Amino acid sequence: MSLSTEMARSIRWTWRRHGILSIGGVLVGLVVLAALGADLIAPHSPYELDVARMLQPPSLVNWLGTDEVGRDVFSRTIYAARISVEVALVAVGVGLVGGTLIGVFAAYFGGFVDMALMRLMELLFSVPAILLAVILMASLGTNILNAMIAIGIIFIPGFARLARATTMDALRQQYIEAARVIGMSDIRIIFREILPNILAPSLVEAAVAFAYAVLLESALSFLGLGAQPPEPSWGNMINTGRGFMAQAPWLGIVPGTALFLCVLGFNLLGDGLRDLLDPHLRESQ
Amino acid sequence: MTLLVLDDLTKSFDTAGFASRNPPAVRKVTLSVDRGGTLGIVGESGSGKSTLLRMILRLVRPSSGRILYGSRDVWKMSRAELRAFRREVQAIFQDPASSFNPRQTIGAILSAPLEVHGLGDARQRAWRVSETLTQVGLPSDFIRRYPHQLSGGQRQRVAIARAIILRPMLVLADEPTSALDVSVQAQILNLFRATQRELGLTTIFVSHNLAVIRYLSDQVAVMRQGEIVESGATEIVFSAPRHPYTRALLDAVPDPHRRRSSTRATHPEGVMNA
Amino acid sequence: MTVECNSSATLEISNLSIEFPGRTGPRRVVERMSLTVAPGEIVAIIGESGSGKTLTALSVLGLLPRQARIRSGSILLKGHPLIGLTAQERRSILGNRIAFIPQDALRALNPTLIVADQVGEPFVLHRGTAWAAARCLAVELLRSVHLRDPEQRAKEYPHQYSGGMQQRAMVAMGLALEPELLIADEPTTALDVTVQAQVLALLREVREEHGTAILFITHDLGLVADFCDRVYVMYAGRVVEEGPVEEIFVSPRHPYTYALLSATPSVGERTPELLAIPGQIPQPHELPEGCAFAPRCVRAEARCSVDPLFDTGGAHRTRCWFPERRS
Repeated sequence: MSLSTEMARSIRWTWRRHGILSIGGVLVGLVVLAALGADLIAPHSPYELDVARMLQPPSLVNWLGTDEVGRDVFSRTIYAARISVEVALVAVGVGLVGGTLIGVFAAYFGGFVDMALMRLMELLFSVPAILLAVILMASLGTNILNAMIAIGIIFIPGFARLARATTMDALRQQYIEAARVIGMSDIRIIFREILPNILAPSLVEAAVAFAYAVLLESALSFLGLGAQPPEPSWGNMINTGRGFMAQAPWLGIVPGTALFLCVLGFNLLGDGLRDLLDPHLRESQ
Repeated sequence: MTLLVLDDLTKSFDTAGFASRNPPAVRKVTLSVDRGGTLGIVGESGSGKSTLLRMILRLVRPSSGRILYGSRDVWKMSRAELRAFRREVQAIFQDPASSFNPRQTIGAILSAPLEVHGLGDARQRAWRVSETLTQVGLPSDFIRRYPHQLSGGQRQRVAIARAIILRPMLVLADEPTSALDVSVQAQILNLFRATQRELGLTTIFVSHNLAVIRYLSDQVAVMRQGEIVESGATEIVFSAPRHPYTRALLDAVPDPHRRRSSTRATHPEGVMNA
Repeated sequence: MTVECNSSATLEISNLSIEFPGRTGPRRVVERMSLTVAPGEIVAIIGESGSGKTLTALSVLGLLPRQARIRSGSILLKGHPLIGLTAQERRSILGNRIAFIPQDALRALNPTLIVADQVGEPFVLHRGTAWAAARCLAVELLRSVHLRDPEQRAKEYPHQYSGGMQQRAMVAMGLALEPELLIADEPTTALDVTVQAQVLALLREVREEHGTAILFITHDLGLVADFCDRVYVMYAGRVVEEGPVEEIFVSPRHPYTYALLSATPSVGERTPELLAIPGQIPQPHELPEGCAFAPRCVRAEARCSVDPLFDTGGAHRTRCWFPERRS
């Protein structure tokens, strides 16, 4: 077989197996890059006002136009990525760690502990996400940090339920019995035998949760509860842009598109991760 | 010297308070095992042999009756005695596929019992792991491998290694060769015998395979629906069974070494139904 | 190599070779396998994992995994070729002229249908019987496999049956259209030994009453000794010994057959020491040149690097340069 057909075959094979993961990875990579390198990439300051140049359409100076007080839309969009990524990271972190621990403990100890924890989770689950976030922020105060915690709390029941199911599966395996027989303590069994084996599905869930976290943050700032002006956030930019759809549609479209691409990227990343991890798990059994 | 005594052991799995609709899994089992002895517990599905094994391992609490290990009731032990129990009583499980944590190397799996009991420093542990691997006929570089990279027979060897690494007194084995090919089974059975002799272990084997039990045990107990219907020296029970169930069991087992007439009567439906 | 042109044989496999694609070239998993099953005969293929016994059975049924390729050979059912059938032709044969009893009856039965609907299905599919009539026939079939209270049992779901009952239901389903050939793949491995004896007695009855040819795939030597008429011993994809059961187990000629027998503990008498065959079964890509068993064989010599031919031993033949002498 010639070299070029071999290369073509291996590219096709890689694409089929990792295509979705790659697209997702690229999109997410762009977002993270924007978030980290905002200072370097953004051509203008996101705060600098220039009322004389307000509502300018995209031009060579302002690549994506200016907003209602003359700030550069492109720069603000890039800086907004930072907020989104920060919030998503913290929120998913809180949800993943808190939820997983709750789920594992509930499944491992069973009985009353299980019942109590799961009822609590169901309580949290039953309140619609936005409403829960609004309630939490109303009681804690409207700032970014509280937004992160609120979203994190929203995620806990989902991760808990997943961790509980995967832990119950793991508990049926004989190596857990074997660990008890050699005298391993409960805590050691949880951290050494159970957690490493249930992490994979939880990580996939985390990737998808990132997307949702970004969306939630935007929703909250859209409602005025998240990032406060003059901090740029896709959500509050969309909110402002709503009022100018006739004269300056780019005000809403640009942050909307950025949000769309970011959420899409995380979703694809999650899908790709699941495909990557599942057959691997299967062939390693 | 008696090492293990089971006294009137019963286990019922029904929720408390209600009259049991299901018969007890284990019913009034009384047994004793001497030090250095090999006991085989044989029974079909539903006989309760696996539950009995788990009770001896202190994984399942009996509904009534006592388990005495070296004259101490295992459910009344002090913390220190329990620690000693967990060091001296080890198990080999049935399913080589799920008896190991798939994310750990063989080295980590074998090291774990030593770590849990705080034996030796890292270097001594590594040495003991290596020595035990050699004892079960595996090369030392297996410590870097993962369970899924091993064949069924190799995994059972690791299971034996894990059971003996603490130099226990009593080893219990649950269907240790059911999932293996005939030729591999022979290797593992011989390894069992050799190890048991070398280390002076007391062993209890649980299996539905009568031939394997005959090969491995000096004493045998036949279980049916939670009860022991017959027990005694293996040679005597197998060559002159007294209980009709034992007789039916022995009769039903096909044996390539036994010469039989080719026209066997259809099996009577009397003793059991399916 | 002589090929028996026996068109009265129910099943005739000649020179069957099956391979799987592999990274470094195709891997041969069954190598020039030949066997025959006459009407009313119970023939066993015995082997360990990797012997190719299950693949052979699957190739008769046309149920090989997608990547498998039949490289050469023929499979004839009463003279009819079974390789290269269209899907429709194959469907008309399976369940009708060939029945299959798999290892795990519970997984083979549909948990959402009552047993009568499943046992009666072959009638509906192949004879166009109406469902009501098919259900009645199903009850009769369940009675014929000695299921107690068949009218009641027919209305139940598979999970309400015990393992032995499920296997009997599978036999009933297989027998519905009085097939010429029954293929059983380890049908009793998951069953208790007493239940196993009853299921085997049932299969023997089937043979006696219907003259069905039975191909039995197993790894259990004792089963073969008690139950079957002839046996083919397979190792790493090849037949190494074949012949009547009485002869093979009393005087095995191939070293592998002998080793297998010596590695099986006995129930009826005390075994002083089991013979453990050193080494492992080779993977398809690790097969040596010549005899596949040579690396583990006590009698191996230089000559074994050439693939042995069958000796012309009539009914009891073996593929070895140094077989045991006939007693």
